Amino acid sequence: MRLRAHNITYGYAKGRKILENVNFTVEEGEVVGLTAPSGYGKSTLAKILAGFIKPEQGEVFLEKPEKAESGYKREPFSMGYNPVQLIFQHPEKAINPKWKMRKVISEVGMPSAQMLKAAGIKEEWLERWPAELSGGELQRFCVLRALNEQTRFLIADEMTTMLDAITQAQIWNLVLTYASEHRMGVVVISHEKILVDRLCTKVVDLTQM
Amino acid sequence: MRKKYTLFALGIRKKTIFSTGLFLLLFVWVMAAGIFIAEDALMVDLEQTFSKPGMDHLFGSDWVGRDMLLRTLKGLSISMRIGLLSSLISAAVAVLFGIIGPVFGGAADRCISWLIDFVLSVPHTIIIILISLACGGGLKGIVVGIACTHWTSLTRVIRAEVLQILHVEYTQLSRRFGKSKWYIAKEHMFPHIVPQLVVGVVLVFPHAILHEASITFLGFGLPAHEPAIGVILSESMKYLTSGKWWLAFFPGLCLVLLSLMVDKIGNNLEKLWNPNTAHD
Amino acid sequence: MKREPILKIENLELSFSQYIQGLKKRELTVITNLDLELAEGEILAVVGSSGSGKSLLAHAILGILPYNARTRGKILYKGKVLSQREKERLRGQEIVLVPQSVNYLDPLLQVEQQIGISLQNKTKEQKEKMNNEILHRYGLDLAVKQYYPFQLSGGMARKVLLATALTSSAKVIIADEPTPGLDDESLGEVLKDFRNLSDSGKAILMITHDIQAALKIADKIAIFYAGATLELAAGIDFAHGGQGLRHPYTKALCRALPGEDFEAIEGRQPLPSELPQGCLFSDRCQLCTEECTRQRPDYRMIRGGKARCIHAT
Repeated sequence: MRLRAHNITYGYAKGRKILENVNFTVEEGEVVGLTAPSGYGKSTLAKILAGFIKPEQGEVFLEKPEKAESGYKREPFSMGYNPVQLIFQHPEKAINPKWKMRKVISEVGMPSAQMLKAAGIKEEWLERWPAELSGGELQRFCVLRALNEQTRFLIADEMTTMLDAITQAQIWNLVLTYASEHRMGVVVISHEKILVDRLCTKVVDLTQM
Repeated sequence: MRKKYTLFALGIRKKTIFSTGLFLLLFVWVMAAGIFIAEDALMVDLEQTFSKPGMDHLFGSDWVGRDMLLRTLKGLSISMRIGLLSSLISAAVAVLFGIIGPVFGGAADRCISWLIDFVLSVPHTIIIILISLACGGGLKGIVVGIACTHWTSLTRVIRAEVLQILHVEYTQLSRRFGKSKWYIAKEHMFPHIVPQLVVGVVLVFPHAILHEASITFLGFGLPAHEPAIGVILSESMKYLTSGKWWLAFFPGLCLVLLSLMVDKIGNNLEKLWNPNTAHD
Repeated sequence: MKREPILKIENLELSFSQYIQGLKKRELTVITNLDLELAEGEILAVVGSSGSGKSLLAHAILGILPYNARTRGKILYKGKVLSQREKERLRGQEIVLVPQSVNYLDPLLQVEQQIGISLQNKTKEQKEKMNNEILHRYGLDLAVKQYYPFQLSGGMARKVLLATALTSSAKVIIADEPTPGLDDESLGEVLKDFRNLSDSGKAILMITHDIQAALKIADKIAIFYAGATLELAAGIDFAHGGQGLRHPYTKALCRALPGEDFEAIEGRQPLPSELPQGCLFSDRCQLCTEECTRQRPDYRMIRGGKARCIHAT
């Protein structure tokens, strides 16, 4: 399976297009980096890929390889769980502050004890309120929430930008291990070139498109 | 710093909780007292007409010798029942409209916004009188009238809150997790509006009883045989010029105090819930 | 000869009293042991993960902490302990803050007036000229002068925030997370400006989570962990896989950088409510001995830097 964005165009103000005829493909199990200076629509593309906003023109879809031919067959998105999931930069906003962490993590389905351990989440944190945990811990929850069989592609928009280097390495090691075991595609969006080079098998520069 | 009075050195939060508790207790007591005062305690006693406030009758007695303290309590209790009922109904309407509007958007939201503006643009007292008359007057008429006019400001507050939450990342993520709008309204939004809701209910309450009193006073509300505060005040007008001041003074004062008290409860609750003031 | 520090913080402790539920009140210690020295013409970066209370350091120096905060320890400016009144007098004049987000800009002022605030005692023409200069330097269009804060993009807002502080005549500049949202080019521009300012004799305290940006310009780097400064190192100490570093945490941090091994140690920073009694890093440290868990180690001089560890050499 692969995720394809075809001829995407989008602009916030009239006349000024942030994205113009952008084409982008991620194969399953592939880790692709996406870089560009600020203001080139990295985050906008991320939101379009994950279905948060509709592009003005163009389409995002999943494709499955056909057995007989070398062509691909389009898979329509269903109404339920979106197989393309987005992780934001600020986990505080991605978690309802009025929910305890147990409810937050089980909104999608309680992960196995093994996964909790791999993500470095302590059992006792599940009984806490989000305000009692730090950004690094909250981001572990956000990542783990998206790491389930239904997610085929993960878009990480500056996922670890606000975290310290050790937590950053921990979270990325978790995501990369999971992605290679479950053949999940990952899009890494970051302004940090060293990080993108470290993580990705392929890097796309949005200014070159 | 040296602590001087350990007994009174409570934090603002504790004081606030204490006074709120006290007010609530008083509230329940007045309500209960009004319900349990038997009809025969309000017997006509023609030997004691127009007695001034004193040991026998703390609030004095009226032109047929009924005790004004008991009448006031009974009246307050009726007013409070009306107040409670109408503020609960208007809160329910506010929650419904406040959530449905933004979540379903489009025409529904436009309708609700228009309705809010419409109700706010017409003077309250007149609408309440009209609705109350149309409903056949009495307790039902007043409750419907007040509920119909007092849901607007709370709806606006809730609508603003819901609009904000609707665009926060966690509700948008919830949609991507395949959750329904109903689930998002119930699970994500409702916990956020509970504090506003409770404060809103409490703050609508004094409005409701003051409206009840004024409309009854004008003769459009409760019938004359109900000892509601509005009825008591309107009757007392006849005797005010002949120097029977206590007939209006005590019931009026109690009404004002009750309104202030409930208003204070509302403000206290807000203070406790608001994160900016909650940590002192 | 060692220069006399213009700003010195000794053993700062900062706590909040908070209600958790109902009437349960607790004292939450966010900063436990913070020491730093800042000399004129020097850039010191305080590096720690976001949400660890670094911003509160800036607020403590400027005296703009919330009402339920309590501090202990000393903040010295030019050798004198700063009182609240002194802080109020100095802030905006001799000590300025480059705040973290647009929310700190006055929403009703245009960019021009915003920058103008710090340009007191100047004629209109001079102001105009300096305004244009500074906008030009950051590659901002002159039309930006008429913009209100809500019209600015993240990167533009960041530049305006910097501009307001950089034009002032302050001696100490505190920059709270000045780098996120800037692309490489503007980042280089900003960092160069900081360098120029410090070369002209200003002292700059840069509070950041971005260790890469700190390494690019700072003379010294203070590593902030669980509310304490664990190590004071020079930028060069991070070179060659962090060979010059002293504290085991800093070494681990250096190894986890994507440009280095990208290897993470286990565990996480303790929350303010669960700080260990002994060394703050003891629960994750390989060198940890029984002595480490008993009491917090002192901040001691090692090879020209400082570390809060009894095993550091």
